[in-house]
Amino acid sequence: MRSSSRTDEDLLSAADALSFEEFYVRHVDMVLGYFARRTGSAEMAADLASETFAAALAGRRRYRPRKGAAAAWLFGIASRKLADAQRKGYAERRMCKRLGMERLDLTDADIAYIEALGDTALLEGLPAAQADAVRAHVIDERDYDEIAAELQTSEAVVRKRVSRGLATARRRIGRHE
Amino acid sequence: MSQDFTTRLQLQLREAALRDERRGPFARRLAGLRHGMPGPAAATAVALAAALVIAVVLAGGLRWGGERQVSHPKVVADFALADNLGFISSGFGSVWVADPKNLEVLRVDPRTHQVLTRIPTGGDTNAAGGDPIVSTGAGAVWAIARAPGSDGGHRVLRIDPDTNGITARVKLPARQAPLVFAIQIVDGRPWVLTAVGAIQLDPVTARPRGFVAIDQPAGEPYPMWAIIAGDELWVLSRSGTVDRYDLASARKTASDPVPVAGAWSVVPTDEGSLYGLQGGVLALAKGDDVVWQRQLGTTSRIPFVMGGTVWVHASDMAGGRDRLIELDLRSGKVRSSTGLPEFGIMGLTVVGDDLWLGTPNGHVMIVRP
Repeated sequence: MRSSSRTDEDLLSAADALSFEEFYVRHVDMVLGYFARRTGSAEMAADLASETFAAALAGRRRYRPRKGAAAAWLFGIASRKLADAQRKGYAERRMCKRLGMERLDLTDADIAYIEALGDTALLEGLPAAQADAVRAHVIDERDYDEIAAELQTSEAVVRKRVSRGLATARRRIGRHE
Repeated sequence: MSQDFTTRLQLQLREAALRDERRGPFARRLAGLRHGMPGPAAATAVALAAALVIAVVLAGGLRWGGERQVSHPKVVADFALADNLGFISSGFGSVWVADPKNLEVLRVDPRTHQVLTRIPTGGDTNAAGGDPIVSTGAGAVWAIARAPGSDGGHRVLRIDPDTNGITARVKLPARQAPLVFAIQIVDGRPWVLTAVGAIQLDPVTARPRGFVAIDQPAGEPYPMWAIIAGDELWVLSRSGTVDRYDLASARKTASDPVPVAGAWSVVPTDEGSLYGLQGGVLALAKGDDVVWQRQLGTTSRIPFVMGGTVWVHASDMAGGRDRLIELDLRSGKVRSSTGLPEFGIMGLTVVGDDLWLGTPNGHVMIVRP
Protein backbone atom coordinates (compact mmCIF):
# COMPACT_ATOMS: atom_id res chain seq x y z
CA MET A 1 0.00 0.00 0.00
CA ARG A 2 1.32 3.39 -0.86
CA SER A 3 1.11 5.20 2.41
CA SER A 4 2.42 8.44 0.99
CA SER A 5 2.59 10.26 -2.28
CA ARG A 6 6.37 10.10 -2.34
CA THR A 7 7.88 8.43 -5.36
CA ASP A 8 10.00 5.32 -5.18
CA GLU A 9 12.96 7.45 -6.13
CA ASP A 10 12.32 9.80 -3.20
CA LEU A 11 12.03 6.89 -0.80
CA LEU A 12 15.19 5.22 -1.96
CA SER A 13 17.17 8.44 -1.97
CA ALA A 14 16.15 9.32 1.57
CA ALA A 15 18.53 8.20 4.28
CA ASP A 16 15.97 7.39 6.96
CA ALA A 17 14.83 3.93 7.91
CA LEU A 18 11.12 4.53 7.48
CA SER A 19 11.49 5.63 3.87
CA PHE A 20 13.27 2.44 3.00
CA GLU A 21 10.63 0.46 4.82
CA GLU A 22 7.94 2.04 2.70
CA PHE A 23 9.94 1.27 -0.40
CA TYR A 24 10.19 -2.34 0.77
CA VAL A 25 6.46 -2.64 1.34
CA ARG A 26 5.76 -1.39 -2.15
CA HIS A 27 7.98 -3.93 -3.85
CA VAL A 28 8.35 -7.00 -1.70
CA ASP A 29 5.55 -8.94 -3.38
CA MET A 30 6.90 -8.27 -6.83
CA VAL A 31 10.37 -9.33 -5.81
CA LEU A 32 9.13 -12.50 -4.14
CA GLY A 33 7.04 -13.37 -7.18
CA TYR A 34 9.98 -12.73 -9.47
CA PHE A 35 12.16 -15.15 -7.52
CA ALA A 36 9.41 -17.70 -7.01
CA ARG A 37 8.76 -17.95 -10.74
CA ARG A 38 12.40 -18.36 -11.57
CA THR A 39 13.50 -20.71 -8.84
CA GLY A 40 10.35 -22.72 -8.28
CA SER A 41 11.19 -22.68 -4.61
CA ALA A 42 9.54 -20.57 -1.95
CA GLU A 43 12.51 -21.02 0.37
CA MET A 44 14.97 -19.91 -2.27
CA ALA A 45 12.71 -17.01 -3.20
CA ALA A 46 12.55 -15.90 0.43
CA ASP A 47 16.31 -16.10 0.84
CA LEU A 48 16.94 -14.21 -2.37
CA ALA A 49 14.38 -11.55 -1.51
CA SER A 50 15.98 -11.06 1.90
CA GLU A 51 19.41 -10.74 0.35
CA THR A 52 18.12 -8.41 -2.36
CA PHE A 53 16.53 -6.00 0.06
CA ALA A 54 19.53 -6.20 2.38
CA ALA A 55 21.75 -5.27 -0.57
CA ALA A 56 19.36 -2.50 -1.55
CA LEU A 57 19.41 -1.14 1.99
CA ALA A 58 23.19 -1.25 2.15
CA GLY A 59 23.62 0.24 -1.30
CA ARG A 60 20.82 2.77 -1.44
CA ARG A 61 23.21 5.69 -1.05
CA ARG A 62 24.68 4.83 -4.42
CA TYR A 63 21.32 5.03 -6.14
CA ARG A 64 20.96 8.06 -8.42
CA PRO A 65 17.45 8.91 -9.60
CA ARG A 66 18.76 10.43 -12.82
CA LYS A 67 20.01 7.00 -13.79
CA GLY A 68 16.57 5.44 -13.83
CA ALA A 69 13.64 4.16 -11.90
CA ALA A 70 14.18 2.88 -8.38
CA ALA A 71 12.20 -0.27 -9.13
CA ALA A 72 14.46 -1.02 -12.07
CA TRP A 73 17.46 -0.52 -9.82
CA LEU A 74 15.98 -2.94 -7.32
CA PHE A 75 15.28 -5.55 -9.98
CA GLY A 76 18.78 -5.12 -11.24
CA ILE A 77 19.98 -6.23 -7.84
CA ALA A 78 17.42 -9.03 -7.83
CA SER A 79 18.50 -10.39 -11.18
CA ARG A 80 22.12 -10.36 -10.10
CA LYS A 81 21.30 -12.21 -6.92
CA LEU A 82 19.37 -14.73 -8.97
CA ALA A 83 22.24 -15.24 -11.38
CA ASP A 84 24.59 -15.62 -8.44
CA ALA A 85 22.36 -18.23 -6.87
CA GLN A 86 21.96 -20.10 -10.13
CA ARG A 87 25.69 -20.19 -10.46
CA LYS A 88 26.28 -21.49 -6.98
CA GLY A 89 23.15 -23.45 -6.39
CA TYR A 90 22.25 -21.61 -3.25
CA ALA A 91 21.38 -18.09 -2.17
CA GLU A 92 24.21 -16.24 -0.56
CA ARG A 93 23.47 -14.37 2.67
CA ARG A 94 26.47 -12.11 2.83
CA MET A 95 24.53 -8.86 2.95
CA CYS A 96 22.03 -10.26 5.42
CA LYS A 97 24.88 -11.37 7.65
CA ARG A 98 26.55 -8.04 7.28
CA LEU A 99 23.38 -6.33 8.45
CA GLY A 100 22.83 -8.81 11.25
CA MET A 101 19.70 -10.32 9.73
CA GLU A 102 18.94 -13.89 10.77
CA ARG A 103 17.57 -16.37 8.27
CA LEU A 104 13.79 -16.48 8.53
CA ASP A 105 12.06 -19.83 8.63
CA LEU A 106 8.93 -20.13 6.56
CA THR A 107 5.60 -21.35 7.76
CA ASP A 108 3.30 -23.35 5.52
CA ALA A 109 1.26 -20.20 5.04
CA ASP A 110 4.36 -18.28 3.99
CA ILE A 111 5.24 -20.95 1.45
CA ALA A 112 1.74 -20.96 0.04
CA TYR A 113 1.76 -17.21 -0.23
CA ILE A 114 5.12 -16.99 -1.98
CA GLU A 115 4.20 -19.79 -4.36
CA ALA A 116 0.99 -17.96 -5.18
CA LEU A 117 2.97 -14.82 -5.98
CA GLY A 118 4.99 -16.81 -8.48
CA ASP A 119 2.07 -18.58 -10.00
CA THR A 120 1.02 -17.28 -13.37
CA ALA A 121 -2.40 -18.76 -12.67
CA LEU A 122 -2.75 -15.75 -10.44
CA LEU A 123 -3.66 -13.85 -13.55
CA GLU A 124 -6.61 -16.04 -14.37
CA GLY A 125 -9.85 -14.22 -13.99
CA LEU A 126 -8.35 -10.82 -14.48
CA PRO A 127 -9.72 -8.71 -17.29
CA ALA A 128 -7.80 -9.63 -20.41
CA ALA A 129 -6.19 -6.24 -20.82
CA GLN A 130 -4.94 -6.24 -17.22
CA ALA A 131 -3.72 -9.83 -17.41
CA ASP A 132 -1.84 -9.12 -20.62
CA ALA A 133 -0.25 -6.03 -19.14
CA VAL A 134 0.78 -7.77 -15.93
CA ARG A 135 2.12 -10.76 -17.84
CA ALA A 136 4.12 -8.56 -20.19
CA HIS A 137 5.57 -6.32 -17.49
CA VAL A 138 5.86 -8.55 -14.43
CA ILE A 139 6.41 -11.99 -15.88
CA ASP A 140 8.10 -11.22 -19.18
CA GLU A 141 9.80 -8.17 -17.61
CA ARG A 142 9.24 -5.94 -20.57
CA ASP A 143 9.36 -2.20 -20.31
CA TYR A 144 6.22 -0.10 -20.19
CA ASP A 145 7.10 1.81 -23.32
CA GLU A 146 7.68 -1.35 -25.31
CA ILE A 147 4.35 -2.81 -24.20
CA ALA A 148 2.60 0.43 -24.96
CA ALA A 149 4.04 0.51 -28.45
CA GLU A 150 2.95 -3.05 -29.11
CA LEU A 151 -0.56 -2.40 -27.85
CA GLN A 152 -0.68 0.95 -29.59
CA THR A 153 -1.65 2.73 -26.43
CA SER A 154 0.02 5.09 -24.00
CA GLU A 155 2.52 4.14 -21.35
CA ALA A 156 0.22 5.59 -18.70
CA VAL A 157 -2.54 3.22 -19.72
CA VAL A 158 -0.23 0.24 -19.48
CA ARG A 159 0.96 1.34 -16.06
CA LYS A 160 -2.63 1.66 -14.88
CA ARG A 161 -3.53 -1.79 -16.18
CA VAL A 162 -0.54 -3.33 -14.42
CA SER A 163 -1.31 -1.53 -11.21
CA ARG A 164 -4.96 -2.54 -11.20
CA GLY A 165 -4.20 -6.08 -12.20
CA LEU A 166 -1.72 -6.52 -9.40
CA ALA A 167 -4.05 -4.98 -6.88
CA THR A 168 -6.78 -7.41 -7.87
CA ALA A 169 -4.40 -10.34 -7.78
CA ARG A 170 -3.16 -9.41 -4.33
CA ARG A 171 -6.67 -9.20 -2.98
CA ARG A 172 -7.42 -12.65 -4.35
CA ILE A 173 -4.55 -14.22 -2.47
CA GLY A 174 -5.46 -12.54 0.73
CA ARG A 175 -3.14 -9.55 0.71
CA HIS A 176 -5.13 -6.37 0.88
CA GLU A 177 -3.64 -3.07 0.05
CA MET B 1 -0.26 -15.86 15.94
CA SER B 2 3.13 -15.51 14.33
CA GLN B 3 3.84 -12.77 11.83
CA ASP B 4 4.15 -13.66 8.19
CA PHE B 5 7.43 -13.73 6.32
CA THR B 6 7.13 -10.35 4.66
CA THR B 7 6.34 -8.67 7.98
CA ARG B 8 9.23 -10.35 9.76
CA LEU B 9 11.58 -9.37 6.96
CA GLN B 10 10.23 -5.85 7.13
CA LEU B 11 11.06 -5.72 10.84
CA GLN B 12 14.53 -7.08 10.23
CA LEU B 13 15.17 -4.44 7.60
CA ARG B 14 13.82 -1.73 9.85
CA GLU B 15 16.18 -2.71 12.64
CA ALA B 16 19.09 -2.90 10.22
CA ALA B 17 18.24 0.50 8.78
CA LEU B 18 18.00 2.03 12.23
CA ARG B 19 21.33 0.53 13.22
CA ASP B 20 22.77 1.91 10.01
CA GLU B 21 21.45 5.38 10.84
CA ARG B 22 23.04 5.27 14.26
CA ARG B 23 26.41 4.13 13.02
CA GLY B 24 27.16 7.15 10.86
CA PRO B 25 29.09 7.34 7.60
CA PHE B 26 32.57 6.57 8.90
CA ALA B 27 31.56 3.38 10.64
CA ARG B 28 29.61 2.33 7.57
CA ARG B 29 32.67 2.72 5.41
CA LEU B 30 34.79 0.69 7.77
CA ALA B 31 32.19 -2.04 7.85
CA GLY B 32 32.04 -2.11 4.10
CA LEU B 33 35.77 -2.47 3.82
CA ARG B 34 35.90 -5.26 6.33
CA HIS B 35 33.31 -7.26 4.55
CA GLY B 36 34.64 -6.45 1.11
CA MET B 37 31.16 -5.68 -0.08
CA PRO B 38 31.00 -2.65 -2.32
CA GLY B 39 27.38 -3.00 -3.23
CA PRO B 40 25.04 -4.95 -5.39
CA ALA B 41 26.66 -4.07 -8.67
CA ALA B 42 30.02 -5.42 -7.74
CA ALA B 43 28.55 -8.27 -5.79
CA THR B 44 27.11 -9.59 -8.99
CA ALA B 45 30.33 -9.47 -10.82
CA VAL B 46 31.56 -11.87 -8.19
CA ALA B 47 28.78 -14.16 -9.28
CA LEU B 48 29.15 -13.75 -12.99
CA ALA B 49 32.89 -13.30 -13.34
CA ALA B 50 34.99 -16.28 -14.05
CA ALA B 51 36.70 -15.54 -10.82
CA LEU B 52 36.76 -17.83 -7.98
CA VAL B 53 36.62 -18.11 -4.33
CA ILE B 54 37.19 -21.00 -2.07
CA ALA B 55 36.97 -20.47 1.60
CA VAL B 56 39.33 -22.10 3.97
CA VAL B 57 39.02 -22.95 7.59
CA LEU B 58 41.36 -20.90 9.67
CA ALA B 59 41.55 -22.31 13.12
CA GLY B 60 44.88 -21.75 14.73
CA GLY B 61 46.50 -21.54 11.34
CA LEU B 62 45.61 -22.45 7.84
CA ARG B 63 44.82 -26.10 7.36
CA TRP B 64 44.12 -27.93 4.16
CA GLY B 65 43.09 -31.45 4.99
CA GLY B 66 45.47 -31.34 7.91
CA GLU B 67 48.52 -30.44 5.83
CA ARG B 68 50.88 -27.65 6.81
CA GLN B 69 51.22 -25.03 4.14
CA VAL B 70 54.24 -23.24 2.79
CA SER B 71 53.73 -20.02 0.92
CA HIS B 72 56.04 -19.30 -2.01
CA PRO B 73 54.29 -16.78 -4.27
CA LYS B 74 54.49 -13.13 -3.25
CA VAL B 75 52.13 -10.21 -3.49
CA VAL B 76 54.20 -7.72 -5.45
CA ALA B 77 51.64 -4.96 -5.88
CA ASP B 78 48.37 -3.74 -4.46
CA PHE B 79 46.87 -0.63 -6.02
CA ALA B 80 43.47 0.99 -6.50
CA LEU B 81 41.90 1.45 -9.91
CA ALA B 82 38.29 2.33 -9.10
CA ASP B 83 35.65 2.10 -6.40
CA ASN B 84 34.65 -1.38 -7.58
CA LEU B 85 36.08 -3.81 -10.08
CA GLY B 86 34.42 -6.54 -12.09
CA PHE B 87 35.66 -8.80 -14.85
CA ILE B 88 39.35 -8.64 -15.67
CA SER B 89 41.11 -9.91 -18.77
CA SER B 90 44.51 -9.43 -20.38
CA GLY B 91 45.36 -8.99 -24.01
CA PHE B 92 46.88 -6.70 -26.60
CA GLY B 93 49.61 -5.61 -24.19
CA SER B 94 47.15 -4.32 -21.63
CA VAL B 95 44.87 -5.42 -18.86
CA TRP B 96 41.18 -4.72 -19.40
CA VAL B 97 39.02 -4.30 -16.33
CA ALA B 98 35.32 -3.65 -15.85
CA ASP B 99 34.43 -0.71 -13.65
CA PRO B 100 30.88 -1.68 -12.64
CA LYS B 101 30.14 1.57 -10.86
CA ASN B 102 30.82 3.78 -13.85
CA LEU B 103 30.07 1.06 -16.42
CA GLU B 104 33.37 1.55 -18.12
CA VAL B 105 36.08 -0.72 -19.43
CA LEU B 106 39.43 0.41 -18.09
CA ARG B 107 42.54 -0.20 -20.13
CA VAL B 108 45.46 -0.55 -17.74
CA ASP B 109 49.17 -0.47 -18.44
CA PRO B 110 50.61 -3.67 -16.94
CA ARG B 111 53.96 -1.99 -16.21
CA THR B 112 52.92 1.33 -14.70
CA HIS B 113 49.51 0.15 -13.42
CA GLN B 114 48.02 3.38 -14.72
CA VAL B 115 44.64 3.58 -16.41
CA LEU B 116 45.42 4.44 -20.02
CA THR B 117 41.86 4.74 -21.30
CA ARG B 118 38.33 4.63 -20.00
CA ILE B 119 35.81 3.24 -22.46
CA PRO B 120 32.16 3.88 -21.57
CA THR B 121 29.99 0.87 -22.30
CA GLY B 122 26.81 2.89 -22.54
CA GLY B 123 25.22 0.53 -20.08
CA ASP B 124 22.67 1.49 -17.51
CA THR B 125 23.57 1.08 -13.86
CA ASN B 126 19.93 0.79 -12.98
CA ALA B 127 18.97 -1.67 -15.66
CA ALA B 128 18.22 -5.23 -14.77
CA GLY B 129 21.17 -7.49 -15.34
CA GLY B 130 24.77 -7.77 -14.50
CA ASP B 131 27.81 -5.58 -14.55
CA PRO B 132 29.89 -5.13 -17.66
CA ILE B 133 31.49 -8.34 -18.84
CA VAL B 134 34.92 -8.08 -20.40
CA SER B 135 36.96 -10.57 -22.37
CA THR B 136 39.76 -10.42 -24.89
CA GLY B 137 40.43 -12.45 -28.00
CA ALA B 138 39.35 -12.96 -31.61
CA GLY B 139 41.11 -9.73 -32.53
CA ALA B 140 39.22 -7.50 -30.17
CA VAL B 141 38.19 -6.64 -26.67
CA TRP B 142 34.61 -7.66 -25.95
CA ALA B 143 32.26 -6.16 -23.46
CA ILE B 144 28.63 -6.73 -22.63
CA ALA B 145 26.50 -4.25 -20.76
CA ARG B 146 22.84 -3.80 -20.12
CA ALA B 147 21.15 -1.46 -22.52
CA PRO B 148 19.38 1.57 -21.06
CA GLY B 149 15.95 0.96 -19.60
CA SER B 150 14.77 -1.43 -16.99
CA ASP B 151 14.69 -4.28 -19.47
CA GLY B 152 16.59 -2.94 -22.40
CA GLY B 153 18.42 -6.20 -22.97
CA HIS B 154 22.11 -6.82 -23.34
CA ARG B 155 24.40 -5.17 -25.83
CA VAL B 156 27.69 -6.59 -26.92
CA LEU B 157 30.48 -4.17 -27.73
CA ARG B 158 33.45 -4.92 -29.92
CA ILE B 159 36.38 -2.70 -29.00
CA ASP B 160 39.33 -2.22 -31.32
CA PRO B 161 42.45 -2.42 -29.15
CA ASP B 162 44.41 -0.31 -31.65
CA THR B 163 42.14 2.69 -31.34
CA ASN B 164 40.16 1.94 -28.19
CA GLY B 165 37.11 2.69 -30.29
CA ILE B 166 33.91 0.67 -30.28
CA THR B 167 33.61 -0.80 -33.75
CA ALA B 168 30.35 -2.66 -33.20
CA ARG B 169 27.52 -2.37 -30.74
CA VAL B 170 24.92 -5.10 -31.15
CA LYS B 171 21.87 -5.91 -29.06
CA LEU B 172 21.63 -9.59 -28.22
CA PRO B 173 18.33 -11.38 -28.86
CA ALA B 174 16.32 -11.07 -25.67
CA ARG B 175 15.04 -14.64 -25.78
CA GLN B 176 18.57 -15.98 -26.12
CA ALA B 177 20.12 -13.70 -23.54
CA PRO B 178 17.79 -13.06 -20.60
CA LEU B 179 20.85 -13.20 -18.36
CA VAL B 180 24.42 -13.16 -19.57
CA PHE B 181 27.13 -14.92 -17.61
CA ALA B 182 30.33 -14.60 -19.56
CA ILE B 183 32.08 -14.31 -22.91
CA GLN B 184 34.41 -17.08 -23.95
CA ILE B 185 36.70 -16.95 -26.95
CA VAL B 186 36.91 -20.39 -28.50
CA ASP B 187 39.03 -21.03 -31.59
CA GLY B 188 38.91 -17.39 -32.56
CA ARG B 189 35.17 -17.13 -32.15
CA PRO B 190 33.44 -15.23 -29.37
CA TRP B 191 30.67 -17.07 -27.54
CA VAL B 192 28.28 -15.47 -25.10
CA LEU B 193 27.12 -17.78 -22.33
CA THR B 194 23.61 -17.02 -21.22
CA ALA B 195 21.02 -18.51 -18.94
CA VAL B 196 19.45 -20.38 -21.85
CA GLY B 197 22.37 -21.31 -24.05
CA ALA B 198 25.38 -20.00 -25.92
CA ILE B 199 25.39 -17.39 -28.68
CA GLN B 200 28.14 -17.40 -31.24
CA LEU B 201 29.19 -13.94 -32.41
CA ASP B 202 30.76 -12.88 -35.65
CA PRO B 203 34.30 -11.79 -34.68
CA VAL B 204 34.16 -8.79 -37.00
CA THR B 205 30.60 -7.52 -36.86
CA ALA B 206 29.71 -8.86 -33.38
CA ARG B 207 26.39 -10.01 -34.76
CA PRO B 208 24.96 -13.32 -33.54
CA ARG B 209 25.72 -16.12 -35.96
CA GLY B 210 24.44 -19.14 -34.15
CA PHE B 211 22.80 -20.32 -31.00
CA VAL B 212 23.06 -23.50 -29.00
CA ALA B 213 19.97 -23.86 -26.86
CA ILE B 214 20.09 -25.68 -23.56
CA ASP B 215 17.39 -28.19 -22.72
CA GLN B 216 15.55 -26.75 -19.78
CA PRO B 217 13.79 -29.41 -17.75
CA ALA B 218 10.53 -28.46 -16.11
CA GLY B 219 11.24 -26.63 -12.91
CA GLU B 220 14.77 -25.79 -13.94
CA PRO B 221 14.60 -22.42 -15.63
CA TYR B 222 18.35 -21.94 -15.53
CA PRO B 223 21.24 -24.35 -15.49
CA MET B 224 23.55 -24.48 -12.53
CA TRP B 225 26.61 -23.77 -14.62
CA ALA B 226 27.76 -23.64 -18.22
CA ILE B 227 31.15 -23.49 -19.86
CA ILE B 228 32.58 -24.12 -23.30
CA ALA B 229 35.39 -26.64 -23.57
CA GLY B 230 36.87 -27.46 -26.94
CA ASP B 231 34.01 -27.85 -29.34
CA GLU B 232 31.42 -28.57 -26.69
CA LEU B 233 29.16 -26.65 -24.38
CA TRP B 234 29.10 -28.24 -20.94
CA VAL B 235 26.04 -27.63 -18.84
CA LEU B 236 25.67 -28.65 -15.24
CA SER B 237 21.98 -29.22 -14.58
CA ARG B 238 20.27 -28.95 -11.25
CA SER B 239 19.16 -32.53 -11.62
CA GLY B 240 22.73 -33.73 -11.24
CA THR B 241 23.87 -34.30 -14.80
CA VAL B 242 26.51 -32.80 -17.02
CA ASP B 243 24.97 -32.31 -20.43
CA ARG B 244 27.24 -31.74 -23.38
CA TYR B 245 26.26 -30.04 -26.61
CA ASP B 246 28.14 -30.04 -29.87
CA LEU B 247 28.75 -26.44 -30.86
CA ALA B 248 28.73 -27.18 -34.57
CA SER B 249 25.42 -29.00 -34.71
CA ALA B 250 23.85 -27.44 -31.57
CA ARG B 251 22.75 -30.91 -30.54
CA LYS B 252 23.06 -32.57 -27.18
CA THR B 253 25.59 -35.35 -27.44
CA ALA B 254 25.82 -36.64 -23.88
CA SER B 255 24.22 -36.46 -20.47
CA ASP B 256 26.27 -37.99 -17.70
CA PRO B 257 25.52 -38.15 -14.00
CA VAL B 258 27.70 -36.05 -11.72
CA PRO B 259 29.73 -38.45 -9.55
CA VAL B 260 29.83 -36.12 -6.56
CA ALA B 261 27.04 -34.59 -4.54
CA GLY B 262 26.34 -30.88 -4.33
CA ALA B 263 28.15 -29.80 -7.49
CA TRP B 264 27.52 -26.24 -8.58
CA SER B 265 30.26 -25.81 -11.16
CA VAL B 266 32.35 -27.96 -13.45
CA VAL B 267 35.54 -27.13 -15.30
CA PRO B 268 36.79 -29.67 -17.85
CA THR B 269 40.55 -30.29 -17.58
CA ASP B 270 43.07 -32.67 -19.07
CA GLU B 271 42.97 -34.67 -15.84
CA GLY B 272 39.21 -34.91 -15.59
CA SER B 273 36.29 -32.78 -14.53
CA LEU B 274 36.99 -30.36 -11.72
CA TYR B 275 33.87 -29.83 -9.68
CA GLY B 276 33.12 -27.05 -7.25
CA LEU B 277 30.84 -28.42 -4.56
CA GLN B 278 28.66 -26.70 -2.06
CA GLY B 279 30.27 -26.21 1.30
CA GLY B 280 33.67 -25.30 -0.04
CA VAL B 281 34.72 -28.61 -1.52
CA LEU B 282 36.72 -29.05 -4.70
CA ALA B 283 36.79 -32.43 -6.40
CA LEU B 284 38.40 -33.95 -9.47
CA ALA B 285 36.60 -36.82 -11.17
CA LYS B 286 37.27 -39.00 -14.15
CA GLY B 287 34.08 -40.53 -15.39
CA ASP B 288 32.40 -42.04 -12.35
CA ASP B 289 35.61 -42.14 -10.30
CA VAL B 290 36.44 -39.38 -7.86
CA VAL B 291 40.21 -38.88 -8.07
CA TRP B 292 40.42 -36.51 -5.14
CA GLN B 293 38.16 -34.39 -3.05
CA ARG B 294 39.26 -31.62 -0.76
CA GLN B 295 37.41 -29.63 1.84
CA LEU B 296 38.55 -26.06 1.38
CA GLY B 297 36.27 -24.06 3.60
CA THR B 298 32.71 -22.93 3.78
CA THR B 299 32.10 -21.51 0.31
CA SER B 300 33.70 -21.89 -3.06
CA ARG B 301 33.84 -20.40 -6.51
CA ILE B 302 35.29 -21.31 -9.85
CA PRO B 303 38.87 -22.53 -9.84
CA PHE B 304 41.30 -21.11 -12.36
CA VAL B 305 43.12 -23.93 -14.12
CA MET B 306 46.50 -23.40 -15.79
CA GLY B 307 47.98 -26.60 -17.13
CA GLY B 308 48.55 -28.83 -14.15
CA THR B 309 47.91 -26.10 -11.59
CA VAL B 310 44.69 -24.91 -9.99
CA TRP B 311 44.53 -21.45 -8.46
CA VAL B 312 41.73 -20.68 -6.07
CA HIS B 313 40.98 -17.63 -4.02
CA ALA B 314 40.18 -18.59 -0.45
CA SER B 315 38.49 -16.72 2.32
CA ASP B 316 37.34 -17.52 5.78
CA MET B 317 33.89 -16.18 6.46
CA ALA B 318 34.55 -16.08 10.19
CA GLY B 319 37.63 -13.87 9.85
CA GLY B 320 41.24 -13.88 8.81
CA ARG B 321 42.97 -12.86 5.65
CA ASP B 322 41.95 -14.07 2.24
CA ARG B 323 44.46 -16.31 0.51
CA LEU B 324 45.41 -17.42 -2.97
CA ILE B 325 45.85 -21.17 -2.95
CA GLU B 326 47.77 -23.16 -5.50
CA LEU B 327 46.79 -26.82 -5.93
CA ASP B 328 48.25 -29.62 -7.96
CA LEU B 329 45.53 -30.58 -10.37
CA ARG B 330 46.43 -34.25 -10.57
CA SER B 331 46.72 -34.92 -6.84
CA GLY B 332 44.79 -32.09 -5.24
CA LYS B 333 47.71 -31.32 -2.98
CA VAL B 334 48.27 -27.74 -1.95
CA ARG B 335 51.47 -26.30 -3.31
CA SER B 336 51.29 -22.84 -1.83
CA SER B 337 49.12 -20.46 0.12
CA THR B 338 49.59 -16.73 -0.11
CA GLY B 339 48.03 -14.23 2.25
CA LEU B 340 46.33 -11.37 0.42
CA PRO B 341 46.15 -7.75 1.56
CA GLU B 342 42.58 -7.17 0.32
CA PHE B 343 39.32 -8.95 0.89
CA GLY B 344 37.29 -10.57 -1.84
CA ILE B 345 37.89 -11.24 -5.50
CA MET B 346 36.04 -10.17 -8.62
CA GLY B 347 38.23 -11.61 -11.31
CA LEU B 348 41.58 -13.21 -12.01
CA THR B 349 43.74 -13.12 -15.09
CA VAL B 350 47.26 -14.02 -16.11
CA VAL B 351 49.52 -11.13 -17.10
CA GLY B 352 52.93 -12.34 -18.16
CA ASP B 353 54.20 -14.43 -15.28
CA ASP B 354 51.92 -12.77 -12.77
CA LEU B 355 48.37 -13.25 -11.60
CA TRP B 356 46.21 -10.14 -11.35
CA LEU B 357 43.30 -10.32 -8.92
CA GLY B 358 40.61 -7.65 -9.01
CA THR B 359 38.84 -6.99 -5.73
CA PRO B 360 35.43 -5.67 -4.75
CA ASN B 361 36.92 -2.50 -3.29
CA GLY B 362 38.48 -1.56 -6.60
CA HIS B 363 42.00 -2.80 -5.99
CA VAL B 364 44.23 -5.01 -8.06
CA MET B 365 46.59 -7.35 -6.29
CA ILE B 366 49.44 -8.80 -8.28
CA VAL B 367 50.74 -12.17 -7.17
CA ARG B 368 54.01 -13.43 -8.59
CA PRO B 369 54.24 -17.24 -8.44
